[in-house]
Amino acid sequence: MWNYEKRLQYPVKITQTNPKIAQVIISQYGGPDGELAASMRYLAQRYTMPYNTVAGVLTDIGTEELAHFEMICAIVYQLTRNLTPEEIKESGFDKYYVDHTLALWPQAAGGIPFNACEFQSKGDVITDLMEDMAAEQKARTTYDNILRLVKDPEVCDPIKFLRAREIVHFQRFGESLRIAQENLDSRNFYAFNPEFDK
Amino acid sequence: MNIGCKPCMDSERQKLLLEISKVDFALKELNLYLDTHPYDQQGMENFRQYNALKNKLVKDYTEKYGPLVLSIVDMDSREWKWATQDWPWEGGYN
Repeated sequence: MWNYEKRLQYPVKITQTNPKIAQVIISQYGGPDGELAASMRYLAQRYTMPYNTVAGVLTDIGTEELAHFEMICAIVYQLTRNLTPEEIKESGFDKYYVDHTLALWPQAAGGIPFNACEFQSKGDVITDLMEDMAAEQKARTTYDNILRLVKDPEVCDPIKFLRAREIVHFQRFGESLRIAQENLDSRNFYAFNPEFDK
Repeated sequence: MNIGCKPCMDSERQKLLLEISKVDFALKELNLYLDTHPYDQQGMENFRQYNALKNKLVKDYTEKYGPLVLSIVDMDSREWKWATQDWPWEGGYN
């Protein structure tokens, strides 16, 4: 189960709205390499993970990702707060607005809805941990792409924090893969799948 | 358009909350590190120290300004501040 802490993991305080950039950043909420997909991926994979320490990594990183999509939502919310119909029209935010007004909804920047097909829960330790390491790098690339487009330091600052977390998570998943491999047959890591073959 | 800081918090409150965030960040880092290094004595000792510090700071904050977690609430208050105070995404604090 989970408990809520009534604060963001890292401060988000944006004073200038910018609906154009909000439409880009929302991808890290509901997009293919976003924080929602990250959280659901790790929290889904953990049940059949045979090593307690690795299930711990999946649980704790999956939990941190919940705090990350809360930060992304706070950024998008603050970037689109109190918009006028004119600002909505001029910025191209109208296509999002017509379906969601100014509410948060998980979608990619291109408008594609959040989709569980963006991630895998394969039930094979090597496959899943490789996916998790790739996911952290894909999210890091997305943040790098966002940082090339954003100039407002109030937006860049929390985005840079989130980018740095991807690198730390990648490191921990790398260690998780090492732990898994130490438990496998060193002559052939694929000799059996410890999530299925008993 | 400039929407300003909503609602502007006094700097003492902001400072204390930032301190809590810093300590909690250290705890999160230690948490993930210990998951893959579960016998690191120094790591566990650091976790114990930061955890005690965080609990103290959250208690201080709750008494002065309002609750951050439901496990530490000011029961002398006649107001359920958990719900009446702003949520963190408003940007007024945190």
